[in-house]
Amino acid sequence: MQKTALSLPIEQVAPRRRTGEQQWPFPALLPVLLLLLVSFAVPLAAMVRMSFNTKASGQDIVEAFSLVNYATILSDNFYYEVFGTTFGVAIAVTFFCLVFGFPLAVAYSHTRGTRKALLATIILGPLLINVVVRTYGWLILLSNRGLVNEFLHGLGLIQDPIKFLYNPFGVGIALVHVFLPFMVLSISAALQTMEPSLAEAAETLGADKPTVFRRVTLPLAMPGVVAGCILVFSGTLGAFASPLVLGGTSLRMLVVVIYTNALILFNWPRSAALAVVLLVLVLFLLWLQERWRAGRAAEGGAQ
Amino acid sequence: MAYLELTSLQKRFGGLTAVDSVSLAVQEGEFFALLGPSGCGKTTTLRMVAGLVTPDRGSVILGGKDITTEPPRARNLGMVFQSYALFPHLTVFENVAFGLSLRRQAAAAIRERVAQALDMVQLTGMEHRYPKQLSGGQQQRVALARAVVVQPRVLLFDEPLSNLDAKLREHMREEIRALQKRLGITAVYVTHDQTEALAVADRIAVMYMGKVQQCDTPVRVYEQPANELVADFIGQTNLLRGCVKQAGDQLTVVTQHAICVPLARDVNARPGQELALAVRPERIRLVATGRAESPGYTEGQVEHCSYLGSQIQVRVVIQNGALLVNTANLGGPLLQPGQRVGIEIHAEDCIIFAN
Repeated sequence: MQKTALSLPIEQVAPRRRTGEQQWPFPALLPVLLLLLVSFAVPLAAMVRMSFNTKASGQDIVEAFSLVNYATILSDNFYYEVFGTTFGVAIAVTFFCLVFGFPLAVAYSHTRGTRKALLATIILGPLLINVVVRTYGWLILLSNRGLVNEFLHGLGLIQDPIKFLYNPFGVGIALVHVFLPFMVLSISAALQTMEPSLAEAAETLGADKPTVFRRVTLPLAMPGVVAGCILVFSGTLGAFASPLVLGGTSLRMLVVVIYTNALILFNWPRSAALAVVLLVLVLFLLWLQERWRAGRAAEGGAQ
Repeated sequence: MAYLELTSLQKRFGGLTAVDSVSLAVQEGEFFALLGPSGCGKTTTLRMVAGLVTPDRGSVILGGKDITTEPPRARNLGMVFQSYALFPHLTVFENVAFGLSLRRQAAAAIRERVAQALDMVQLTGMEHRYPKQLSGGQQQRVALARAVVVQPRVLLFDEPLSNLDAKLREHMREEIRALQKRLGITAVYVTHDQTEALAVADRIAVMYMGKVQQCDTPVRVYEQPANELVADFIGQTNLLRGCVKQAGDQLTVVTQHAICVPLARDVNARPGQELALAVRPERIRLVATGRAESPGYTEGQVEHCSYLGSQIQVRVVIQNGALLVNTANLGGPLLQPGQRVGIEIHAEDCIIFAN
């Protein structure tokens, strides 16, 4: 899913064709376009094509132009449950990233110098650790005999271990951990365009701190909040390692189901159809954000 | 007791004393300017009045009440920022209405007062524009309207015109001055532009290195600077150091450039005393050469001429130094570099600083 996000800037560059000298495609972009074509567009097309094939259980894949996979996804309660779980986790993760991320973003945009560098390292920390290492780290911490449970047990606070694993709780913790930087950086990018004298102007006009936040800081941070929420939400929808390792196959998140269909049941067509549905969902979210931003720009309120 | 009083205000940032025992008294309805080079503490002083900076020592007294520790929102002041600080997500109307809406005014009353304020700054019809759709001058007017509309007890300006071009700056400062006089609001105006301060202010406090050097009317600040710092900062000044000599019953200063300037009788000086004469470039006279006997006379060589439009500034190299001389542009040919000129300095055109 991150590839989708990466391809966006190129689409945004495209309309900037102005003079004959600066023609598009700019020759220097050709290598990367070629790479994207071979490694991204072609496999994507193949996946979409695959989603129209059919496969009965225990039999080979049959080349076809059938909508049966999509029909199954839309009619089977199992898939509604999958989407429900996935969206539930994504909404919760986005919510907590926002709650934890906003104050962090405010602090980050207010600090300067070495402190800022230190804070940046801490915020970006989760992204610097390999996903497998990070996930197994959580496994060590959160398992029934893991550090957290042993510690709480040792203190006498609990008798039976808290079940973090194979349910949305543990997956949520791990995903909030890794997606928090996206939220913080999005919001602080928006906050940094806000000059400090705006808050001061509001204060001299009679606003107390909560009012300054509600009427000045928050509205100006909104583009960052929206961007951060969509990044985290779509990222959570597409997350794989944490849901698989910490949630297991019993926690039915979409990407895990796609994985099960493809590599355990060998039902590539259905797996492809699920992936296409996920892709369409994420593109829809990005489109919504783009529309919101365009609306604000047209209104003149955005900076 | 003055309307706004600052007593021994002190503020340190790290190891740096930004404001050093500043005491000022501003009268009600007065247009008061804080003038000085950047880093002199004038903005910090203003921010302490606004409540945006808490002083380490000293107090801010407004209308007889100590407001030193009150937060900005409780002070009912209007502030115009250098960057204008307009809310980019709000329209002109919403920007101006911001302070009123916080004061829980009725919608109709807000509409009426915003309309009045916008009319005052000639922005009627711009209500629904956003700040970025306005020119710099218009944004400045919105900032002014937003500060005035709440009927503040004091109007504070922090270098409000420094982002405008020269022509607009002159125009706006006249408008600000006229508006302030019409509304009778007390104003404290921070600027580093001496011309601006001289033009708008009733009184000026000249600040340097965190201290008030002189607090007086524009005329006196210019004509009778309290010390060399003020003389040097306000306008241009030629500083001539010299020693008092007795010649008969006349005291004369012999400067380092060997110019003899006879002192007036009432000047309190004694022979052998070291002092400095400050002369404005426009008070030095260019005269014909060869008048070696006249008092305050010397000769020099033109180094170059700066054509300033209404005036022409000549830099004249004399013995042990150089002088700046301004002459009115009366249409004659410009002096040429290398040309020899006579210079005359009269004691009554000099400000005398004892060393």
